Amino acid sequence: MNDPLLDIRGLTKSFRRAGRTIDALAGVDLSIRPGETLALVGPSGSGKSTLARIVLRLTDPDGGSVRFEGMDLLALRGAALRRTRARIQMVFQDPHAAFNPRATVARVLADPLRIHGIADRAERPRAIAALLDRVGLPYDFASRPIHEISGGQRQRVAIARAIASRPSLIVLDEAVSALDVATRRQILNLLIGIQDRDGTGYLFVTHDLGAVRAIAHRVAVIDQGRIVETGTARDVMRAPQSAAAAALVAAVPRLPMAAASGYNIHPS
Amino acid sequence: MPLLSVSGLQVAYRRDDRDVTALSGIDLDIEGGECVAVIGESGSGKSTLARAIAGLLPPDAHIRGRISWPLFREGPVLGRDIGFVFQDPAASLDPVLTVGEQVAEVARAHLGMRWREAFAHAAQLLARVSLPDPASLLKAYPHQLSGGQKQRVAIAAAIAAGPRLLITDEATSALDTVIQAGIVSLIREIVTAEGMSLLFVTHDIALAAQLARRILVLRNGHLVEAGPTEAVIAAPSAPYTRLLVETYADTSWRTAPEASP
Repeated sequence: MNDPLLDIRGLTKSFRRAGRTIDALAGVDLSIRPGETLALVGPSGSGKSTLARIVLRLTDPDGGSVRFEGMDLLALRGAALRRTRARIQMVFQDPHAAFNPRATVARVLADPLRIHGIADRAERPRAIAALLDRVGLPYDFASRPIHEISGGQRQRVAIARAIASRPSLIVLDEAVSALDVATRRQILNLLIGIQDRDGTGYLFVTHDLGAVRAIAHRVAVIDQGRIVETGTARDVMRAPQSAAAAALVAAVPRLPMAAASGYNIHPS
Repeated sequence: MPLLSVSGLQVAYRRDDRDVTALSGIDLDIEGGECVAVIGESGSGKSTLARAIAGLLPPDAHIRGRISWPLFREGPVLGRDIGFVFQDPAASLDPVLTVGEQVAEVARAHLGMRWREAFAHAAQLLARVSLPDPASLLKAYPHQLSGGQKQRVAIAAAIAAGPRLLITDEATSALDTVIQAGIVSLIREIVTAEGMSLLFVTHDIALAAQLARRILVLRNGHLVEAGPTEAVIAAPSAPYTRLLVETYADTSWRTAPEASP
């Protein structure tokens, strides 16, 4: 058994809102192994985005520990934190919101190469071409403004930007939720291909179990700031043990079984 | 006699001095009490179809073909004969009016009720869409409600005058899965109980199949598939429909990554 890539113990975080204290996280334990996709699923307000933000060091928890590649992530400061930021990347739901819309694709991809000292100015065009190639975009995309490309293409650029610094962990927060069915399938396949080649770990945050089957090895179900169930994607989705997981699984739209007789929709 | 009959519908928008066709060659009948789903991705023309039927297209839209309503001599009135629920409840609900005012306004405008009576009617409707404590909710503002609650209010307003047709345009796609399931059951229960026709616009074929007896699939402004739900799912004829069905038919699971040495 190899060491976990990410190991979270007893994480707590509360907010004060309208005079009340809300426990966004009430003692969360989680771990992700190298090359593994852990899907963190739960309804809106369950605490999953707060957890993602803590892992990205965008906010600090009230208590608990987060170890990343064996280091105490929460204790990192300065240069050590910057180095670690290269190792933990993110892709969010709305790639439009994540970019300056007037920037070109090349500009978006040059930033991480420069910030993390990966490719100097002379090497950058080749590095950008290689990144575009990895996410299945032609090189002439480099000169396109972000606002001119489609949602699926923008998400490919967001993935290219995330992998530019060769991270070992990518936090994917509802990364395919806004995409059309065909595009979503392509982006999931792209992410799986990157993971299989690079051994990147994914924290796949979503409220939607639809994509979980395709990409997740394991699932953790979060409800009211607590992990109520973890298991393989297959076990959690076929035989959920907790009420929260059962509610999520029951809410997934399914095709009517009898009608879809030509397809094996619900194997026993 | 169908409730409405669409024939040869074509819609184009004027963009940068040229016409961009959003929809073309659409034929569709909806019977009284029938639930029909329109499936498509963004840009497929599904919202344009919904808006064309509701009379909600912008003035610069160029429309050809016919949408006829045999039961309405003077054409249907939006709000009275057609209820419309948008994806974003902010598009249906006015932020500066209370929940009670917006639901009651529909009853006042279309059922000729006075405010007092209209508010009582609104309270009944809020209970009808399973919102707790309707009496105090009447005085609440939209921003005080969750996304799912706002969508229930939008449905209450849409059905307030007892329309013959309810149109929902991606009404659940901004909501999480559990909330979505609740809204879908509510829509099903209401249209069944009231004998309303439903035009359910969605990108999700499984959601469509839960509600509709008949499915239409739009792609790039064209109708690529139409038929009874069972037939479309069992034997999709268009490659795009097959892709939609196969997404749900995929039963593979990923196996654990190999431990690195």
